[in-house]
Amino acid sequence: MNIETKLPVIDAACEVSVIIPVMVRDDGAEAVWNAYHTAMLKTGKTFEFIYVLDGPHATYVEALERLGGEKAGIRIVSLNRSFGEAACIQEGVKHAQAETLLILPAHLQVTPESIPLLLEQAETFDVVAGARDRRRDTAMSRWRGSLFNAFARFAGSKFEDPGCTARVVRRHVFDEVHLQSDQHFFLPLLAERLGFSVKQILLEQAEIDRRFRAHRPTDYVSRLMDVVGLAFMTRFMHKPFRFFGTIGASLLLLGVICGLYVVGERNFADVPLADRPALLLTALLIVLGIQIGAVGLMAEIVIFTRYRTTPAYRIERIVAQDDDA
Amino acid sequence: MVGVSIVVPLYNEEENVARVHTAVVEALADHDIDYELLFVDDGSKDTTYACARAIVAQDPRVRVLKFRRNYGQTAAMAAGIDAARGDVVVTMDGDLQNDPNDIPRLLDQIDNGYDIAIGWRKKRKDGGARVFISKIANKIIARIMGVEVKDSGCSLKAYRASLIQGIPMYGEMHRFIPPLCQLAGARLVQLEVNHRARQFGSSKYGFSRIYKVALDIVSIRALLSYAHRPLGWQAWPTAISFLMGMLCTAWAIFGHNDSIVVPAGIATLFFSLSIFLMAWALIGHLFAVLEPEVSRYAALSAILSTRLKQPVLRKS
Repeated sequence: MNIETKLPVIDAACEVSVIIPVMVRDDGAEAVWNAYHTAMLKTGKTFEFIYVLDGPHATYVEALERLGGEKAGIRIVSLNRSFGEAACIQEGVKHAQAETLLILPAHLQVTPESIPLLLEQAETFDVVAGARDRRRDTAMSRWRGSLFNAFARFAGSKFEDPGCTARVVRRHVFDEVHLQSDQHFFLPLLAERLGFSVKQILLEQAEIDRRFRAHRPTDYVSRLMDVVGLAFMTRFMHKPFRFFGTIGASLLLLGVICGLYVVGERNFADVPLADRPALLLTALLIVLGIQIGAVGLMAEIVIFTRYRTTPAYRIERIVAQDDDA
Repeated sequence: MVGVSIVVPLYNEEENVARVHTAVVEALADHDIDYELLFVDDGSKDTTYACARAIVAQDPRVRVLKFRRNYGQTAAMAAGIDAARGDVVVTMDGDLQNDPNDIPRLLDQIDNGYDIAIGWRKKRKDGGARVFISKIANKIIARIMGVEVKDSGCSLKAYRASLIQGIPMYGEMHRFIPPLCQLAGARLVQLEVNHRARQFGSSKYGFSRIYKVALDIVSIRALLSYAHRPLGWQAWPTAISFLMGMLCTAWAIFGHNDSIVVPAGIATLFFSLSIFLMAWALIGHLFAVLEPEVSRYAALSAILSTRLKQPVLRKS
């Protein structure tokens, strides 16, 4: 999948691994590196930079090489085609040497000065998630952000600003959290559900992030799908028939009402039954209702057969006298 | 080897932990029973865990299982039951609503050959309307599931470990443990038990609750018939929809209609439904092949009947 195949052993000398997934959007390799590098120097910790390039980014690699490449503590992992941000983050984690992982976007979302704030909290929490202070953002971005927030809240997330991907994560979190497609937006929520301690802090928004940016329409669609998938997972994973059964039963009920109406008209108003498209609609609704219900039952069967592999709970420890001494 | 595991889920019960422990120890002191007490700390925010840990240091029969965060009572029960080492598992509340003195009586019934012994509280103080609705709902559940449970809100129960550890426990399954057990072929007995004050609203039957329970019953019935016959559980719906398709075809051909579009359309829909259901049944079969868990549930009753009358509870 990637050019570099040698995986590093954990190096105690390195305290923080900065993982930067490079996607479509970036604010210039030099500017971003300079900003993050200066911020990291101020913390006084030893660190390394890992750039994960999502597909070929020839000019970006060149720019990084110019900055000093391997000698300046920059390691480059290049995916041969685009796999998405979540895959980049997981790939970066594999190559990281430190216990503390600082995941930052390739564009400046928060001011570099606020990055040490994230790291300060990392001692006590497993995940520290940043949220942008949007007071000085454009109205349009603010509105879009709060919409994303509202959707995420519907999915069970109590964390603000899922779009802000500046986070500090302890390495062991990634032993259990497996990100798929675009789930990295909800990393704090996923970690919290597995029982990790999560803290959210408000960070100052970077100047450059306050400009309005247009996203592709497909981005909105995939974001919506992510939220729907997440909502299903958090709310109905262990009782899927509650979800599908509700939809199926409503359709079935609608079909039955429609059918009763048609039959009623035939009996009392002498409208012939066989020529009525409404009868077709009745059958369609009933069949659809049963099918959706059947999908729900299949989902139940999947959980029934696999529930032991995905328990709803996580045990921290079992204390007995033998090992308690 | 432990005879009995007593599973007690705890959530913010710091003042009750030590009391539960003493009560259980006193209740079982006169009975020659080899037991372990398993506390499950469901991510309590107070000092419950520390209290329970302190008891572990004094009493080797006590174990504590700590959750990383709060996951709810069902999860706590499931985790405790999974971790239990005894041949019989007893579950009870952590707030001393149940009287540990009833445990030996439940165990006697297990010794008598029953697979599950559940307590029911005779004297309950609830509002008239609530009790009435709750009773009707219980009757309906009893009708559909084929088991009448007098008091589903009472958590004092004793099971054979081989039975309860084979019962699927996720989502809302805990509500249906007695019917699930009985449908798996277990012998069930209900005993009147003491009940102390501090009543929870155990009969919250509003409309939304009834509707949720109705959905749960449908899925559990489907799962059970699936567990027993992984390929044939959808046979009836498939057959009916195929028959409907045939009837509509006949209607389209032999009925004296101006146009056959509507009857033929309906026939097509029902045929497609039967094909869909068959396809789902095949996929369900695939899961049954992949996962031995399914046949385990179906085979539970066979295991149980060979386990009759095993005097594992008493030390002697």
